[in-house]
Amino acid sequence: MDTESTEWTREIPMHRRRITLADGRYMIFYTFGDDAAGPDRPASERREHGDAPGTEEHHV
Amino acid sequence: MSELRWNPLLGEWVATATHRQERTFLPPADYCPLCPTKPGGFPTEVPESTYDIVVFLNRFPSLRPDPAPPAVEGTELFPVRPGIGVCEVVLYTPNHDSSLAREPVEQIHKLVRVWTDRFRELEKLDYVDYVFIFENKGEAIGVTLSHPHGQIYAYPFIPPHIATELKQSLDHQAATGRCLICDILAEERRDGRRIVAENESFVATIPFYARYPYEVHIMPARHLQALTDMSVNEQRDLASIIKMVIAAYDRLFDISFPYMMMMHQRPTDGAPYDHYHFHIEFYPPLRTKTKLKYLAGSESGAGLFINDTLPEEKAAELRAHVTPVVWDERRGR
Repeated sequence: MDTESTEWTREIPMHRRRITLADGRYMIFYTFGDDAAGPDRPASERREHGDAPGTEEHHV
Repeated sequence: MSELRWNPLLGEWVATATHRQERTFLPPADYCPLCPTKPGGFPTEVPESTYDIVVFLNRFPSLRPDPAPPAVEGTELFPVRPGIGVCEVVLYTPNHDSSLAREPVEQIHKLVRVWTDRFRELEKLDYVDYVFIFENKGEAIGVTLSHPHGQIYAYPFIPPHIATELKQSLDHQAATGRCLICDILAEERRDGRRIVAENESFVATIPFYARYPYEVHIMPARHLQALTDMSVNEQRDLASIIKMVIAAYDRLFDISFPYMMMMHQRPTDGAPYDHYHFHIEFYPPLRTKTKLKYLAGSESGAGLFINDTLPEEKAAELRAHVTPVVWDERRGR
């Protein structure tokens, strides 16, 4: 059985990017890392897929 | 259309969601709607060429934030209400052929953090009284999409099984002054025969009262009510013990083991639930490599589960397939 335990004091930052799909549903992309804000796409490509021009980004 | 109809005989709601009949059913891998949209490929549900973990509103929800009025009018005996709530899909990985058991523990740790974030967000909704995080895995369970994913249902009421657990926990606390699951955990540890895996923060056991042959419950050693109560270490330990249990499931019969995984947390209706103890339950439908445990007459019609096995023997079987979890710090923590 695994009884190993180590004290971890720092978590890798979690980022949340929320878009709106053509039918109005939300979709949230979670990424992790000091500089990982998620795969970047140009706004025009996002609109082709139907999500809103603006996306919300949050560091969680 | 989704609505909630009251069953006065059992005192519980039934969700009616007729549009779900139209949902995608076991598409070929090349047309999986949960894979990323590849350049030049067909557009999937996810309009990105890759992702890490994604959460979105289900296209075919049982409950929705803005439900249409019910199709029928209710009566005093047969109340009906709109099917308000939230049904989210959680994509664990962009890799179609993977599974949670095959993912590295670092990915499961990320998922634990995402689950925690979703619980924290959904509990803020004033129409949500309970956030239920779960996974149905395998065709034996009836999944319609094989891509590794789970679901989150945010209900406008406390569902019946949780309500029963809450009442039992409250009654036990009134009678003894102690938490029911803390006592169950102490007794399982004292006996030891049904424990499958253990780490600093969690114990996994096939409980004394298991209804399925390989039913496992993961319980935190500390008296927590929800994912949001966990420390950084407990989040890591939860990822580790989930990995230990479901990887052991896969090794047991050398197959990708089907299961239902369900998180039992405190309700989100604002009332105090200090007497409750968060835990995760796994219900695998297999009793052997090729035989299913059916929910037949006694289980479905009377509510009496008949387990053809001894939890002590099944725990020993499963425990023999548990291996330590090794973290790769290059993948992050």
